[in-house]
Amino acid sequence: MENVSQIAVHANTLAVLSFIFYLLIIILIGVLATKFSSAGISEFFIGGRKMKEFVVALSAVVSGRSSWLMIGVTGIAYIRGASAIWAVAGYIIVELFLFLFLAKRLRRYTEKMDNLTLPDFFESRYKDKSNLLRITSVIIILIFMVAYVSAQFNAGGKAFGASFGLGEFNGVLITALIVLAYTMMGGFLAVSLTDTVQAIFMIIGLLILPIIAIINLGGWSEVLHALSQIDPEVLGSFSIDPFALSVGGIIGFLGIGLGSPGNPHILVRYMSIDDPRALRKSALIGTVWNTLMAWGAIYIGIVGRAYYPVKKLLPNSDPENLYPYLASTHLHPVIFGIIIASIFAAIMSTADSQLLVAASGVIRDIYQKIMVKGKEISQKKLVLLSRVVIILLVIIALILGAIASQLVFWLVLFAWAGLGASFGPTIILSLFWKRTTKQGVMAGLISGTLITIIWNQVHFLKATIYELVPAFIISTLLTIIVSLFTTPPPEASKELEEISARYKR
Amino acid sequence: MNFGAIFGLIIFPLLIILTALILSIVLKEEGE
Repeated sequence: MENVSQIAVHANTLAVLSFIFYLLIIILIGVLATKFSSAGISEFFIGGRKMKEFVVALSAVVSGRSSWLMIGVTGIAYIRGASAIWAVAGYIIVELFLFLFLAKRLRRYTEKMDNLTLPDFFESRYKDKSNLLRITSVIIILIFMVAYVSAQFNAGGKAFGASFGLGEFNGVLITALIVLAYTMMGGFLAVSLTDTVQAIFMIIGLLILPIIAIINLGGWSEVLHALSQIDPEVLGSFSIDPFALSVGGIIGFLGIGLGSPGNPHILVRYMSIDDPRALRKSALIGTVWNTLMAWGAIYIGIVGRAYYPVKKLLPNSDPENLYPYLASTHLHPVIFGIIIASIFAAIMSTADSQLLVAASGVIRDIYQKIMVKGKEISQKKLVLLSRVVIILLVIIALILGAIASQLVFWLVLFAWAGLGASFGPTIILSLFWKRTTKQGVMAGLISGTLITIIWNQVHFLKATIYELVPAFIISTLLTIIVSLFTTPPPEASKELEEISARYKR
Repeated sequence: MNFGAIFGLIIFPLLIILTALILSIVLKEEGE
């Protein structure tokens, strides 16, 4: 779910000012959250489990949506029309159920065991003293998260450079510095609160633009009329009937949703809520937000096609430029500034969460739990080291993006699916099936990652279906089969019983 | 617009939100 295409739209002074106003809010939040996050690594990495349902809902939702939603989905809807609903429906429905069921169990278990990270969770769940689960999972997380962050900086840099005429290199640096500043200072609290602000910018952008664009064209019936006047040859695969897509295409699009339960930067949001019972409210808030943003993006793509029937009418002939271009031609400069801000909001709200998860992998999983295990390290020192690691990770992400952009592109191609197929089945089974074993989880983690990569690289396999779907299924099956032939940890059923919610009848 | 389009662009998103609303009300825990 990534996008690194170039946004070739220029902003004027008013747009720049409204954009700067937005950046100031973000930085201010970072400064204000610094004191809270300096208390200890629980505060720094999961907000001391004190987040409220509204913040958790929006933060979880926008952390999972990169600029793919505003640039990618609008582009898909421009090319394919209403079939794009399948690309968003999968993750919206999956995330609804994650909020309602998985999140509660994960939050309760991780608090009971004092877990701050997913590798922490695996180690506690399987009483693994060998560090095997921790090391395997942290390696997978670090590789994908750092590549992810690098790609986000790159996407932000391209958008920044093109929108404000700063050049791509400066754009990447500015994006990285802003994310670094508030994430390093304010930790999880700053990331969650800025995510909440970013979510508001994103929904404003994704709702205002289609409404104004439709009104300017004379209403929805005029949009349909304009589309009906376009030569079918020119329209190609575009249709306002979502069932025009093949069954395989629909399943592939829906399969995108299988990535959500395995992406640690989303899961860690659930662990941060103060009262797990409030997650049902988060479920409603998050789903409303997810749905409105997604359908906003789809309407933008459809109305965009009515305005620009052929790609040549868009900057660089690229449908992924539709969102900012349509905004630049229809909105007041101040609102256009908000639209540009919403693209950065999508990029930064994903990058900050990924950066923090990567840093927690280094400090909590490698340093505290392996390198200095058993030694007493002050919380102050751990927070300080976490901040240093965040700086180092940003530098690594920048260097990777500069000298190994092909590698970053290659890794990001698998990041959503690879994490989804490896962590998704293993975390779900760990929380809901007492018979799951350490060996089963190892099989699931490794097979999920490998099958994603292999499926993507073998041409005839890739042509059949999106790699996440078969990789998720095979990883699930292997986790179950290997678990059945090995011994589950003692007390698993008692532990799972304790974290299961009892609903009113 | 045919039924498919009406379903996809209007009914489906409303159904998702309605499902979330119902589940968030129904899934109250003991003690709430």
